Amino acid sequence: MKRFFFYSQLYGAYLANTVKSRMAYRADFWVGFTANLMIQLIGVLFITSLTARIPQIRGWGRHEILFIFGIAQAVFGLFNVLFTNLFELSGRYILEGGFDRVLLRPLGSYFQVVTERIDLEDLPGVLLGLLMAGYAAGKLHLDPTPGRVALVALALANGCAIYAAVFTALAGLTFWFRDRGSIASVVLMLEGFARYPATIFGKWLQSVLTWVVPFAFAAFYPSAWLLRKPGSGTMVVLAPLAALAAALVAAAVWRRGVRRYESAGS
Amino acid sequence: MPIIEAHSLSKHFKRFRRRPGLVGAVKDLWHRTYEVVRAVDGIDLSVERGEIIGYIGPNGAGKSTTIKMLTGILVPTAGSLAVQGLVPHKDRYRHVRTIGVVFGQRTQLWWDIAVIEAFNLLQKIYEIPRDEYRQRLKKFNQVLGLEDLLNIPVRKLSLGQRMRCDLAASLLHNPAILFLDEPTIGLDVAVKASIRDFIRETNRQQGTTVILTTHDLSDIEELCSRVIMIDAGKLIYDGGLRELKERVDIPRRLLVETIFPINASKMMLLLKDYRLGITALDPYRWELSFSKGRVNLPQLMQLLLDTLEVRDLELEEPAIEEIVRQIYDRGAPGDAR
Ligand SMILES: Nc1ncnc2c1ncn2[C@@H]1O[C@H](COP(=O)(O)OP(=O)(O)OP(=O)(O)O)[C@@H](O)[C@H]1O
Ligand SMILES: [Mg+2]
Repeated sequence: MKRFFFYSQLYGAYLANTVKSRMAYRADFWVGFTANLMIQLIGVLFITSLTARIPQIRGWGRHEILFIFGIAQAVFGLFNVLFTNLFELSGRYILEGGFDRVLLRPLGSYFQVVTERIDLEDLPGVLLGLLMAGYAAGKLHLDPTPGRVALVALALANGCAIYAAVFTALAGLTFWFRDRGSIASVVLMLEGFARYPATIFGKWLQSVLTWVVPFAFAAFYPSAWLLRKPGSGTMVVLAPLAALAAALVAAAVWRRGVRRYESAGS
Repeated sequence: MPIIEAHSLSKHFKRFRRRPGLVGAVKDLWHRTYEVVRAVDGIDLSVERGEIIGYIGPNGAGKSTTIKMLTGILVPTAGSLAVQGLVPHKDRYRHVRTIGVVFGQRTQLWWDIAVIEAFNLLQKIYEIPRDEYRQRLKKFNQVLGLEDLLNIPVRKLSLGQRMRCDLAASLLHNPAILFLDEPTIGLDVAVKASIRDFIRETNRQQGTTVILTTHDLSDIEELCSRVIMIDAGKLIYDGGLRELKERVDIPRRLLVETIFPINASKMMLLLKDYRLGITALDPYRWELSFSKGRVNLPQLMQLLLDTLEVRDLELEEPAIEEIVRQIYDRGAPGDAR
């Protein structure tokens, strides 16, 4: 408990520093923020115009698709805000030797890598996603009861954990294979698929998204349950287990990987 | 009990050997060949509390690799290692709380934040009591002249400024051991001097054990009583600096530049009483080489100044590489202390 308090306090201190240093370059920050907003808006435009033309895809109505897309976008956005430094892990930390500094501090190495950068510029993704989901929920007459709001919050946290675990494990592979995250970019494509109802894809891709790279548990299964889809009850119960399993794999990769860390000859 | 103790400590790296050309690159896709680099190859170390040790050797000798094992960054391939009774990489948290580390090549501070913010963060991380922290910071500010640097982001500091900040940061938590990997690389004489003074004072006042790597012999002369020399991953000398100098014939060079040209026979005649190697770089510039201790240097310089119209005199200290070569030529790497 004391440890937890200590780490929370430090997280706050790191966060304050990030905000301060970003605000020192206010113009840069707003450029990044705006660019991000544009990208997210284009995504929204794409999905709304797509669903306007095809009101039904394999039993999924237009607003249901929008709802899932919105939740998925918010989850991935949140992951990007909090865990953006995972994308630097292969290059800057492992291959270029920045991990030396991490190992010299009496703190968890994973905590440090994740905390050293927080990407506030990705916040628009979260907001837009939630707005979109809220709008679709309104059209579907899903009132924001405390229970539903709580479930969405849980889904955000759980989904964020799933993405973090998967990308941690992938980046951690750099401890074995000196590769600058090309596997991660393949998996990043899967994230794109995970924004749609998984059942519209073939069985094969659906299984991959459920059992191999469990992104479907991040947004789709919890959303399906909120949308009262038949048979979604089991899958929503499995969602935290999927997160747990992914986290265990990631932790094992991390622990073994750090022991193999070879630094860089300077 | 020694503060650092290592027995046949080794670190081997597997390095991928690329084959040349396009055909080689295609072959590499199928079958890779590796070579093993024995960066550190079975060294024994024993360091007592309060020592300042100069850890020297030519480029690629394995100095940084050793430091990285001693600080817990790298897991040794073989051998045993205990620092204050702990195995660095296994007991990382407890170990790093009691050491300070500076790598001259790369800052230990956070790139984007101001120096003072970095210090404040370190205060939290190491849980340094507030009073103690404030006191130490005040002292470091004075001695290292950090006052004007505190509000600058680390990224914008010059090399010398950054090194002073890094050094202060490494000592905020009053570590028992300070590891310095080329702390004076690329610095001007004034900054070098202030850094050396600071290291010496810290060692004297706090009893901090210091392990220092450098290519600058004057760092060693000013700070270290003991020298450990490594080459190609193996220890080749461990002992006092004075003994080292007595053992090897340290070659020195005196460069003389004159206002008027001088011909060779005149130079030879003038210096016939000295055991010197005399080389003319051009008629105005002469290189005199000799062994330390065999030539009375003040007398020689006086003679030159009296008889020639000297424009400039320059004394070159031997490079560490030269001393290493000498030790090798004399053999007997085994009789390290
Ligand atoms: N991370 C690494 N991976 C592979 N080989 C390495 C690595 N680090 C160092 N080496 C190799 O190990 C040997 C020793 O390197 P090291 O950096 O310890 O030398 P050094 O004595 O510090 O040299 P310098 O004076 O140039 O800093 C070199 O041959 C180097 O190429
Ligand atoms: Mg080195």
